[in-house]
Amino acid sequence: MATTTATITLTSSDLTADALSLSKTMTMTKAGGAEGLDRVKYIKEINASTAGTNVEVLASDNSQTKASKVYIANLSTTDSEYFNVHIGTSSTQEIGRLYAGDWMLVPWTQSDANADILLAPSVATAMAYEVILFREV
Amino acid sequence: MATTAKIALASDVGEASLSLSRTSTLTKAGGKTDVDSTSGLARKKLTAVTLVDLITTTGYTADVANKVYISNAGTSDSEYFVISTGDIAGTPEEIGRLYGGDWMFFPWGVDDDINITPSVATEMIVDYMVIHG
Repeated sequence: MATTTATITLTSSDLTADALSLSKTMTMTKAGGAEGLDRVKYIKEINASTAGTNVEVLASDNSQTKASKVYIANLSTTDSEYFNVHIGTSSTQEIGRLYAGDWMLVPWTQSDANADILLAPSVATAMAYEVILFREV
Repeated sequence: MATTAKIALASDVGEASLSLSRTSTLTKAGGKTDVDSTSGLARKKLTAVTLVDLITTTGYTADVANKVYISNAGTSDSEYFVISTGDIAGTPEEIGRLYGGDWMFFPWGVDDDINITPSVATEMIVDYMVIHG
């Protein structure tokens, strides 16, 4: 059985008066069970589309009863450059801005055909991103 | 002196094993100034299968570099939270299902509230935190 784990470690010495140290590991499993996710898709791409225009990076397969996780990283090294992450197709819902060097990991239900993952670059010059989709069949 | 978020991913799903580690320093939008504010780590116990606000936009600046951490503190394989964003009076867009032990970490543009719906009416516990500048 395939095993995929993801560990987050959040640390800070000065965000609060007391140091912050949080670590949590999850094992990515199929919906409602202990069996591991068994498919992976890796994308590394350079986006050079129009600033502010959404580009589809993952298309929903409308499989809301299944589990999947999405990792996205902005590989730019220019502090001011970001991807504005959206979910949806016709009525996109903004999630947030992923600035240079930032990463995100979220579950993705693909709740309907209108649940694509989209990235809108902040600039029209080339910006690289990395996406990994873990899912179940 | 900084706030960092590190992810370590390991998987043997593919033909070749995957091992990835990435650390980001959490800064204010567009620069190198460290984030300086947080909601603190909070916990809610939910006992109804009802869509409710988990994090509202009040008090947060839009279109900057906010980050949100959410974790299902439970251990049940079958119990999950549906995490969505949008106005709960309308039809929020579902992001995904957070099963027992799962966590998520993502940028938040403060375009809309972050919402949560438990899958069962027995007590479910969620931990969450906003880090912002």
